[in-house]
Amino acid sequence: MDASNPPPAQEPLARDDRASGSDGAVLTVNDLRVCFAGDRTTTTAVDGVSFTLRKGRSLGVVGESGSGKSVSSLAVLRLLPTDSAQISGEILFAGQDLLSIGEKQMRNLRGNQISMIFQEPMTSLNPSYTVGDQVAETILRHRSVSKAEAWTQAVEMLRLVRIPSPETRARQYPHNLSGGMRQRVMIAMALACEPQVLIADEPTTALDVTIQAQILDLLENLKSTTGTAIVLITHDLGVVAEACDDVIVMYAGQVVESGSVEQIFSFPQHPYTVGLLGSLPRLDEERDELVAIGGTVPDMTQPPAGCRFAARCPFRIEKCAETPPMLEVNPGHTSRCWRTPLEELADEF
Amino acid sequence: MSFETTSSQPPLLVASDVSKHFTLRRTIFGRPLTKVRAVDDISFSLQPGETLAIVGESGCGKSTLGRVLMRLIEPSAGAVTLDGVELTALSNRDMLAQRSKIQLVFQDPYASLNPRMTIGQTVGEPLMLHNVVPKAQRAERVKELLKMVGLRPEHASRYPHEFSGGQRQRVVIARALASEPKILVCDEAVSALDVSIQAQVLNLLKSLQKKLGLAYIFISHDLSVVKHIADRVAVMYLGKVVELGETRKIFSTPRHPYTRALLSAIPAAHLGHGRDTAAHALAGDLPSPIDPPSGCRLHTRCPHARPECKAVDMSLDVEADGHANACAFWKELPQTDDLLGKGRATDPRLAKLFAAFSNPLPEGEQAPC
Amino acid sequence: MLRLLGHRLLQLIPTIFILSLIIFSLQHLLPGDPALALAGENPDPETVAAIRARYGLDQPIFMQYLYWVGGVLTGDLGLSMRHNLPVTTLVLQKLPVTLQLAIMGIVLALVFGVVGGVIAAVRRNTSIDYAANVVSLAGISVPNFWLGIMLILLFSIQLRWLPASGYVPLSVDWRMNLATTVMPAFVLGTAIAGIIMRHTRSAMIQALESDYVRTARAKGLSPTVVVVKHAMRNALTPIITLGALEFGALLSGAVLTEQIFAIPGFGKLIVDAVFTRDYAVVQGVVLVTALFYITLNLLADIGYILANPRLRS
Repeated sequence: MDASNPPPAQEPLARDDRASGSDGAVLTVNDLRVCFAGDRTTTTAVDGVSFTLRKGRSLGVVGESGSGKSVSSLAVLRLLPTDSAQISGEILFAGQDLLSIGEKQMRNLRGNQISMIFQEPMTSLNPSYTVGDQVAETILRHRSVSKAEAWTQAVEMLRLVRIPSPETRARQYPHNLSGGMRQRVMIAMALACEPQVLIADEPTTALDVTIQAQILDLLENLKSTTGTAIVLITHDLGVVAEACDDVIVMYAGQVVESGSVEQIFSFPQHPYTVGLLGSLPRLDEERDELVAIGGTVPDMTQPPAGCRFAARCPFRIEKCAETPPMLEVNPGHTSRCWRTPLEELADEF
Repeated sequence: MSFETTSSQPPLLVASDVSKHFTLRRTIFGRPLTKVRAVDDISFSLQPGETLAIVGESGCGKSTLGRVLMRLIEPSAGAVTLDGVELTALSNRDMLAQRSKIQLVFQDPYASLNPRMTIGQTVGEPLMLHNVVPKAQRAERVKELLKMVGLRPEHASRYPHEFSGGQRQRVVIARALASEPKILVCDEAVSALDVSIQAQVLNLLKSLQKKLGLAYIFISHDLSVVKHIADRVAVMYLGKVVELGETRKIFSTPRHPYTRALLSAIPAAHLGHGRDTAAHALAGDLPSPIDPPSGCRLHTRCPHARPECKAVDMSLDVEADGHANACAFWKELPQTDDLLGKGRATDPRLAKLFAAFSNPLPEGEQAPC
Repeated sequence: MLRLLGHRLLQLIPTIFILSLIIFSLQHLLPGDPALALAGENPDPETVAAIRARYGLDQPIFMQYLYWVGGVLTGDLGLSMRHNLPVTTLVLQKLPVTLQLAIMGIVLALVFGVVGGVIAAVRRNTSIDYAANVVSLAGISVPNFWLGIMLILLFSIQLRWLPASGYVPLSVDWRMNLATTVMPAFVLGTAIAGIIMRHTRSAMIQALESDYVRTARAKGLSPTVVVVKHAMRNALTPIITLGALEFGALLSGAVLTEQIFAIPGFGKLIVDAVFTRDYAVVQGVVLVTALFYITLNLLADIGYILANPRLRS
């Protein structure tokens, strides 16, 4: 776009690190596909998703329920049920394809090199163990330290995520802690082994807005102090604008748009992203009518041919019956839409 | 004491000094030991056709207040007057007659519909219960109601599981409208919906208000939604109203530190707002409502707290324009011009694209729902 | 926690009182005059009156109740008319036999039920799970008496490995004791094993699908640690309560099994007492069983509290 933009996203940002390739990529997902076999039908939850996570950056994955964003992230950690989920594609991390390594190797990575936090802090911790135990358990699993040493480190982690009086809190059970505190514990647990990648699946959705601000602030801080790259999965474009560097927008199992936060929020290039942005009330502007995207998401047991958003798109043309590829609109900004650049459509309306 | 009434019309709903205390523990003789003041001494009024939003975080008492207003929960003290009738003084039977005037829309459209009843039966039930229209016209009326909320009349014979979340919420709204209420209490009515669907339902609520002259009590934790739909806003914290005023005023010149914290914490989905969130942020967690802090209940988390705050009372200080807040020292707080920041304006070309979404879909594919 | 316990203990008082009223009055609602039963054929009124006086049957009901309660509190459950022995003696004689059967039965049930349930849950929707389901259903639905008879036919008559009936106390010969109790204990355990297996399976499935188990897997823990440390710990707490209730049921449910294997336990005692309208024995046995039940329940509650940090603090 114009000169005021930050450097294009694919420029190398970091030189030294253990896991990344020469382009600074820590995690590269290529053409990821996840199908769930049901009794009679097969649901394609993720259909050819590709993205790159760079060191020290945070990538926002935006989409509504059923867009495949959570399934993609669980697929990266291979946490999907092995009996029903069929996964294909490539997940490159530290020079190896996570989809082809053994389960034991994968376990050594989980919680150590790649860790994850989830939406529901209320239920994501085991109610039967103290939070200190649960953080220490991760450390014991991946580091050769004594129990006492693991406990000390766990308390330090709790302090790092700004839990007041961590020594006391470590001895408490999850039910003694508020939702925000529990999410901090989850973050402490996830970061205890200094992972390369943290996948945060709707980490603030269940929290109140003032607590959400605290947690986002904490994640931002930890990212800059530890260098951990973050995948932030969310339905909230506001969270993305505040907390991410890059964005991919998902719709019906596909990535429909990808670019930097600056690019996507200044002028989105996919009609679905346009609709999403327009459907949000703005605090600093008056908007009489919110954009309501008509129709509903397609049935993923029989995804429509061509562009999956076409049935709901006001800019639809005949060509949309053909499946659009990801087209580069600006350097680093791609969109799965035949009608890009969308700026040129404005005159038609 | 409806101090903020600016209109000459008599208010539709008046809550005066309403409280609801839940007893958690009693002594063996039944004397209350610990109480939660879920709603503590709250007064306001609602004009016909107006939307009053009640906002606050979980545990602030907003949902309890909504139910107390409908007398689904008996208040511990205070009175609620609807259309000149004091609801809190009515017998249960007389209350039933008043129920048709004030209806509730819940958060969860999945749980609030009976899966074994067709949409038509669901929407028709209040017609029968409150005997709104003669039996012969009921089916016709159900179809009208469904059309009114953007569903098709032939949906009447279908069951809830055949609908999406947004459509179910439309059904719930149609059912609420069946008894021809004057007030809808919307308790987190759009919170469970995806953003694009949320916008559909908000637009629907707005247009229904225009058409039917409904008043809304709009209970929500989401301030950006509230800004879009409400005329006035009441902000609650730990059972107390801390600020009450016109939406424009609340968002442009918030008085109370809690309101400021809430507003500054909303992540903005646009660029370049450059606001200073940290300056308004609250410290720590919500205290237990069982034993709320003395004086101003916010003093444990407030960035502007001073020693006196532990002893002040939380009565509302009302300005000339009706903007009321409960901070004893609000006049001494720093100015807040940049609270929401001034984000980069929407590209005018993008605004045109937004507008394109409200055009009917080409070839009239699906109804907008 | 102490508060909670105190609460539970206080609740016991009315429970036990109502229980004693029911036990006492049920007896008197039964048809037939026990004095007549005891006096033999064509009794003369004087004998009957003497028997009445001896067993306190001539007193007003209210007084009879007070005497009974007073007796119970001092460990005197009255006198058995049939055996001419104190009921307490009879109970103390027969209780260990039934208790042994019940303990063996519940241990069998817990071992098979919990292990089977956990395996079925971990291997859900595989042939192992289906097999476990069939076995547990069989355990629940096969009647005790039939299973007992089949076992006797197989192991006593065909294979001649075990004695068909009778009982040898543990103190006399532990091998014979084991030989005489293993079949009845197995019969008692099967039904309960089935029930426990089903509950364990569903509780484990729920736990395995929970968010905290997903967290545990995301930490890189091995499947064994995830199942044993994280899922089982939470899934098995409700099994404590179930086990205690079923153990109580075993005490009173042994009637049929004891009859089949001719084991001189509680079950046989109460059946004999009912047929001869031996009031005091029936009362005593029912009371002791009920008290056992209540105590087990209390212990289960305490166990549940101890296993559950939310209740502990």
